[in-house]
Amino acid sequence: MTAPEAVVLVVDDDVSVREGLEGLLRAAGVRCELFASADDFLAAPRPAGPSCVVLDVHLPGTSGLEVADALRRRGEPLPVIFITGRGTIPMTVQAMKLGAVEFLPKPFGEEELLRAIDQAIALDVATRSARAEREMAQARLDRLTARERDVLALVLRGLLSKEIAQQLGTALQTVKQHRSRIMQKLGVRSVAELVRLTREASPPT
Amino acid sequence: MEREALLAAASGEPFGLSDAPHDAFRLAIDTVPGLVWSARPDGNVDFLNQRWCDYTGMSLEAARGWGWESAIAPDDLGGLRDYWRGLLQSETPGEVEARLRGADGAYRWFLFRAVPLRDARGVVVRWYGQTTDIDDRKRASALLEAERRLLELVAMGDPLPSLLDALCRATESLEEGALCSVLLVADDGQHLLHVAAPSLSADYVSAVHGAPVATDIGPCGAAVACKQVIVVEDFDHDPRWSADYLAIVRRNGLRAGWSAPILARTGDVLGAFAIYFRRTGTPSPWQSQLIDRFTHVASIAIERSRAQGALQRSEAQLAAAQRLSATGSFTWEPESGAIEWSDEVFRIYGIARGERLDMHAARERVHPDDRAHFDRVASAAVLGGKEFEFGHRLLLPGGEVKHVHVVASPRPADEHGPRRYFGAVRDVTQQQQADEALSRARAELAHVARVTTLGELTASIAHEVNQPLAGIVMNADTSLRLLAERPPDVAQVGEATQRIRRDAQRAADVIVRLRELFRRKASLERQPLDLHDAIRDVLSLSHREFGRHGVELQTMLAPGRAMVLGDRVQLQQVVLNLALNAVEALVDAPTAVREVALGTTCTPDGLVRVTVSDTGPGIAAGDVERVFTAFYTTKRGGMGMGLSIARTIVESHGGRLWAESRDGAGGRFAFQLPALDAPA
Repeated sequence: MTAPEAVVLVVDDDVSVREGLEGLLRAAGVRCELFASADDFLAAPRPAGPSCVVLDVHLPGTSGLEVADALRRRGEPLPVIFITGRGTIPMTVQAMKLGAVEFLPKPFGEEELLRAIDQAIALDVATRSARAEREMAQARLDRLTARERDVLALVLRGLLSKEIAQQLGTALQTVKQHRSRIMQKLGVRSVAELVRLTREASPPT
Repeated sequence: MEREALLAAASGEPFGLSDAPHDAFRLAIDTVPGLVWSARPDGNVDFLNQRWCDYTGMSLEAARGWGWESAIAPDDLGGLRDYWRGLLQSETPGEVEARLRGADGAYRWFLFRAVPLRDARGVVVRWYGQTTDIDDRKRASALLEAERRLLELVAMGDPLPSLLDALCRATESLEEGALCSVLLVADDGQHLLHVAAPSLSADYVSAVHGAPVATDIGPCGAAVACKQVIVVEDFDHDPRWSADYLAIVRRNGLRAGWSAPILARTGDVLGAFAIYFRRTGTPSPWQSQLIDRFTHVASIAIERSRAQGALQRSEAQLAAAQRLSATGSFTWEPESGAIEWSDEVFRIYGIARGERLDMHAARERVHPDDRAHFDRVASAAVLGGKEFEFGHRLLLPGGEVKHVHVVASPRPADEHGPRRYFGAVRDVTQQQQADEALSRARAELAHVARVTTLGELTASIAHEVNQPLAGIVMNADTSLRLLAERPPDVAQVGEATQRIRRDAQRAADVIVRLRELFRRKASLERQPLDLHDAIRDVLSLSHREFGRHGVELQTMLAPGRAMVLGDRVQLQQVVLNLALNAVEALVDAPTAVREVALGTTCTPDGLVRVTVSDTGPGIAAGDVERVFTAFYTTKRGGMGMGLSIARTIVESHGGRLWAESRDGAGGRFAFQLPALDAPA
């Protein structure tokens, strides 16, 4: 079951679909917010908890695909479930390229929908926790001094303390003190842990 | 002298005279203008006056007794003699006609009259007689009679050749030894053709027939050429004629020939009338008169025959034209009800020529369903006397139904008759059938085009049906889920069920609209409809087509309703066609703004105008008409029939459909229909 605070965002200009989804999600115990147009949806604030969007492909004005594209550009990792009254293969391909979780042709059954929603929410939860860890690691890294960062960079490149002292033109003892402060500030005990943490903090390229 | 004494004398000598020539009384008898004679009771002529002897050239001695009989025409002598003997026997006065030979050898007609002179006892003592020249009168009356007979033939419409033949024969019977002919100028005006020549030889007739109008080819040719009477006293001593012609004349033993031109009233030469003799001679005044009179009769006959021929040809042409155009003509006197029909009207109404004809008979043929209308028009015509024009059906006894169109205009009463209508009846059945067939074919074509257009909309329509279906499925799932709960949430199931109902109705409405558009109809169904409503319906089926192509649709309908009289489906087809064309125009357009505007306006002059504009490349000024031609298309898969059919539909609604070139501002199509005045 989805976490209780999860919210499903529904974007469809068709009242039958919108209200049908609303009834179904409510009966399944899923919270939802309804939007009749792409613009309303894009302008609305996002819920704090895990969420996903059920998005109609054929919206008047800004289409569903354009909405998904806009989310991606904004860096909003909101999982998308596309629904459509008439799907075509090129459309499906494009939707998947945009990172859609699922592509549901109307009419669809409750199982398919809820499974897709579960999947999307789970994805969002995972994304959110990954982001939380990264933010935490970054916060620790932010506490290092400039000299400590220089030393950390050379440690990560696998240089010994002696080599680092030589390269930085400083005493070996000083380097050792820096290393100890770094381990302390970042809360790691080994170089291996140090590497993992710095990797988490840097967003994948 | 006492009467007794005179009678005694008369029984002795004629007129009681002696032979004494110088007697004054004898002088008087010889001088009276008349041939006078006397005879004894036994009939023996004993006296003839000097005029008698002078006229016959006989001496008194030769004529006395029964000698005078030799001066009587042999043909008439028997009759005269018998009559005279009868008088002698019955002793009563009498008169008889006979021809008497003059001193010149020519016979003339005379009236012979005789009266008896009786004595006191009543015994006939002597006969007195007078013989009067009646030749001129007799000829004149014979001529008059012949002329009357000929004119009678003309009046009766005898064919020209037989009439002219009769004319020749009449002349020949009036003029002994005459051989007559009538020639007519051929249509080319250059040749002469024999029409009648009953007594001339076939050789002569065929030799002259077709001769050119010329001054040297006989008196006829010359008479026609010179427009005057030509007299040939003796062919042998006349230098005017060609050797060829003279050879023909000689061969046939003709000596004299006289010919007069037959002139029309206009002065044109119609032909020539000719008399030939086997003896030489010139026309006597009597003969000149005869030629003059008969030439005149011939001219009347020819002109009349030509006029009649022209009339007959014109009538035949009219009848043929009426037949070909299936149009008959009629006259109708509203007051008396009298009707006259041309042959074609009889044919159209299926009534035999000659059957009694009146308004009642005509009305009998009118289709029962149309009789009330027929009666209204007829009584309005009787009362109002205005022009009328209307169509109705006929139901013939065999069950055949015909459509006729009647037009008539009145003419007031005048010297030719009472007020009457002149009119025409046209059988428009075939036209009607063709119209109906055309209308069916158009409806069929419109249907095909509509189905084709709807085919382009399949995706949008599927969407339109899938939306409510998706709603239904979800609401059903919701209901099941809610019902599975313990306790079930009945209130929410009720809400979901309401939504199912709504969505199902919505799907059904789409199907209804679709079915309507797919419906095959035999013909136009005209009824009052709100064009706005029809437009909204079409857009509800097709609006996704705009979104699908990234085109924005702006709808700007005039406030209120836009009532027109028409076929809803066909008008929707036109709107759909224009809307989809506009989308099509934008598909490959490089423009930033992709917009279709559909608007309506109600003009002050009572029209509803619908415009469909797009922001596409527009229509070149030279193409604004060409786009309406069949099979003209710029679409990849298009058949090029859409606009052509749309225009036909609009025009059949009494409207107009056109394209506008907006000089770079995009394309625009518009159509307008007469607005129907209806309560808003």
